[in-house]
Amino acid sequence: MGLAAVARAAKPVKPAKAEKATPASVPAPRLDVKTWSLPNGLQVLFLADHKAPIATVQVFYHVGSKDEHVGIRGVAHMFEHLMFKGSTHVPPEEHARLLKEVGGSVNAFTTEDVTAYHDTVPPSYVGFALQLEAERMRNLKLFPTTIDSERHVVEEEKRLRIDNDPVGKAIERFRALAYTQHPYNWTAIGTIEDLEKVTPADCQRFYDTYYQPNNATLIIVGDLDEQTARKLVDQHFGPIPRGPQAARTYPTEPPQTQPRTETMQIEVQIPVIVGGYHIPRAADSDIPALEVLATILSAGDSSRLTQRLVRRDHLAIAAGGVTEAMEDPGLFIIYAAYLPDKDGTKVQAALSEEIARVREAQVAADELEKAKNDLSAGFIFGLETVDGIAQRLGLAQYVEGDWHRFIEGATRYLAVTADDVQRVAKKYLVDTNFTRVTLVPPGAPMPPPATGVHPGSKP
Amino acid sequence: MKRALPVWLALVLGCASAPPKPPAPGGSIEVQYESKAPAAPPGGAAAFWANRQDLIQAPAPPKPAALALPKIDRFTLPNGLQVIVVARKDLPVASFGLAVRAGGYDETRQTLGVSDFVAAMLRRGTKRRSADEISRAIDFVGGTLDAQATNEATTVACSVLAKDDALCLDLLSDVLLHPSFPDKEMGDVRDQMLAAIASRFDSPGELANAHFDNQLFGENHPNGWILTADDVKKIDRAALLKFWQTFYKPSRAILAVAGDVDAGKLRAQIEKSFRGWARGDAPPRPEWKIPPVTGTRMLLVDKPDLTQATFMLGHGGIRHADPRWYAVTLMNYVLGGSDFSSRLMTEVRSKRGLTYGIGSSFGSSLYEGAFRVSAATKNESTWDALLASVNEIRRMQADGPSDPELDKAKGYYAGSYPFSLQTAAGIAVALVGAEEHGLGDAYVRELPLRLAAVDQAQAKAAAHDFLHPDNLIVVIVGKGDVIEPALAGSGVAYQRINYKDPISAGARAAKTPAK
Repeated sequence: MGLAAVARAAKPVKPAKAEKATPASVPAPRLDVKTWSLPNGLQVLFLADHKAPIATVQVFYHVGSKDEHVGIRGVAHMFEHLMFKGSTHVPPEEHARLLKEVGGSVNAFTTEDVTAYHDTVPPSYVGFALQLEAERMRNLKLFPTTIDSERHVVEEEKRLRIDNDPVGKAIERFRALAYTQHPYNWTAIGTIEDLEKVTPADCQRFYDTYYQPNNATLIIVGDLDEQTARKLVDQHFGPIPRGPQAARTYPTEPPQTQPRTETMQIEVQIPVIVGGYHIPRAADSDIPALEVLATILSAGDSSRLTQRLVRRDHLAIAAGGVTEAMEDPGLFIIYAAYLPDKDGTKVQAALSEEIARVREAQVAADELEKAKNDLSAGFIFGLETVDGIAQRLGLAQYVEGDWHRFIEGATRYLAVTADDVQRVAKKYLVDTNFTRVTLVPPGAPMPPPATGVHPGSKP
Repeated sequence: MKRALPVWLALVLGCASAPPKPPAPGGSIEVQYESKAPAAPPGGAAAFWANRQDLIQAPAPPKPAALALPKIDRFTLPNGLQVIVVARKDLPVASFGLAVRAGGYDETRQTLGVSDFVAAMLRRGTKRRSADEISRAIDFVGGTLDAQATNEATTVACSVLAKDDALCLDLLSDVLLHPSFPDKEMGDVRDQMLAAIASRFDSPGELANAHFDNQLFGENHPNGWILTADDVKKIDRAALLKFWQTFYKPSRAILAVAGDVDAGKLRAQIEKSFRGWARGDAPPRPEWKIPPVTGTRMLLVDKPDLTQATFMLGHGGIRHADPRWYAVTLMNYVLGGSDFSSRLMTEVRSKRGLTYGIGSSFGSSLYEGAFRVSAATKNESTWDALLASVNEIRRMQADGPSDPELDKAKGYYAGSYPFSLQTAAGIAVALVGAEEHGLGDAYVRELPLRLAAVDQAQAKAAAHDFLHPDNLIVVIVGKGDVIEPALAGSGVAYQRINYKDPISAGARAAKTPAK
């Protein structure tokens, strides 16, 4: 390390010699997804997949932590828990137990934009899984005592995932800095402060507003035929009445005009830098170029950030970039983790220089092709499991606004040019649009603030 | 050695939440809860579901059946390399995995970490390709190429689109047969390993695991050796070369290929790629044994900034090849292997709200592994959660699972088994694992049938023989000042240390000479 590294830092990283390889021109398998809607507004997506004797039933509700407000931050995720705590005809915890008895596996997750429930079962039990999902769509029983005990479970989960995980803390703070108005200001796990205050009335209101057939997409993928699926869906979800339409208005995040940086000193063994730039919503036509850019920066050891920060300068142990595209305008994240004996200022400088490089010069043709190949192959690997396919369909439906975006596969990336990549880099990856949180152990040197820094406003 | 940073970062970035997954004391913890303690959902909720006739019931469980595996081609090269090919045409992907019996079980305490270091160096340069050329070749086709060492074996895995299978095979054989272990690549690998060691102190779960392994397996068993920075720093190129030359032998290796491949064409390519791998013998492995645990002993690892405690308790387990493994697996499913349905989850989480998640496991290891219960709880609730957990082990040890519990466990495995074998790579991994443990393809096909054959008497015997509630190793990582009073008042032996103290009990003893 030292002077030599600094001297080299100005020169671009020379790509290694390319080995001859076939381009990824394989036609992706055609996905014959069937879709229909019930009179109550429930949209259904069905895909027959006979690779293995299994099927997945997933219900995506169009609700997440961005539908919360200060005072109930965390309620969307707490609801994911409450959905397992009993309904008219299913006692608490029985949903999961009943499905386990028939070999099913049960899972759920909450993001800023969606809450999803998965049941993967042998194909002959799809009807049973649908019966249980229909039951908890409208028959949940919200007892105050149940809410109280689950609130504590959710608080423990936050302690486990965020408070006791240095990176979790950094991400939480990063979001709070990056968003001043929009509810992406907090993460899906919410805050203990608000979780303590959530009332049974808040929960009931949340359930009645968002857990309605016309606010959900039901996805079935697996080893069964369409007629069977249609019959079972009608039987179990047909009787549910349409609910009121949920209002969807979110505060607009004002454009960022100054960099925002903060350093957190906490007990951490591996210092971490998490930075990010505001980008448009997932459905925006600039997103494919940003995804190609993220791939060029961080897919594999030959990617730019790994080559520069890990392989050439030996500054970081890991570095990368990722588009965190969300339903509303999201973030292009860059990060690096380094050993505490390295100089955080140099790590930050190397990250900035690599971002400047993609703004200032076009990416090479072979880098672009490699990124497209990677995204194309990634799409095909994503088709290996029925639950993976269903999850991607559901996320495309609500995060990108249309499930067709998933079955288009990698075609959207194939049209991206080197000009596009440079254009989006120049448009979004600029210093005034940058937020950064650095996590260092107490006593470590503090990296300097970004130029013209002002602390971000707190919520 | 894990290089998982981007993964955990991605997890946090995604901020998705999922229901808890079970994470993969001399004296004795005797206090028992009365079984009438708050046994139902609290308050008026319980009454709502009591004595109802209209509750949804589960249909009859699935009938256990053998798994319909695609055709399996097997052959052995003249140098002893075994090959398994499973052709599946449904997706244009191909997955290659080569497992060589060279891992932590072939290290000594002095060479600890060398198998991880060798694995990480394999793709960092060969006689024909530099590290960057290897990365570029595999990245260009959107594939993955990784090597991982465990105690049992080192596995090099390559996944690509089917059209690139020749490249995958070429890279795989090149990194295994012709690694050059370039000096200039050693620094990055060393840094990655040092980072993984350091980040253990940021992860209460990993820290508890490391202490538990050291406490249980001791200082004379590779599972009990905990890699330190000093171990990593003293590994030089000569040590890498020596380990690779000594243990990477074709007679100790199995190659599994699964996916959209032409088995006939592939055979010729495999023969060409691997025929240069010289046959040879390697020193036999010691038969590693767990020292007996007598009485319960507890280790409190103080990390004052933790808002939550993580504990792990358990003792020795079972070998995968033991005929009683099936009964033990079903019994453990009932005790703590089944998420929401398990006794531990029901008693400790659902009824008492003492944890966020709790689970138990026996694993499936070559040598006798560990039985471990792990849980996360509030610092204040640690002792109560421990008591409740030990109580469940005691109850299971006395009576075993009931017939209905056993039926549910069998139904679960019968229905869910195909789920784990959806992908080409999943099938390849299962076949290699079975072969490594001397179980054969029949095990992979018939697992649900073998589990279904276990009766209640066998499950009860498994609980009786393989659970030892009075001879437990307990490790607690949390805020010491909050947790300690309950331990001190329990009469069970315990020791308190700081989280930055050496993880090896032997190293701690050497640091502070006994009075």
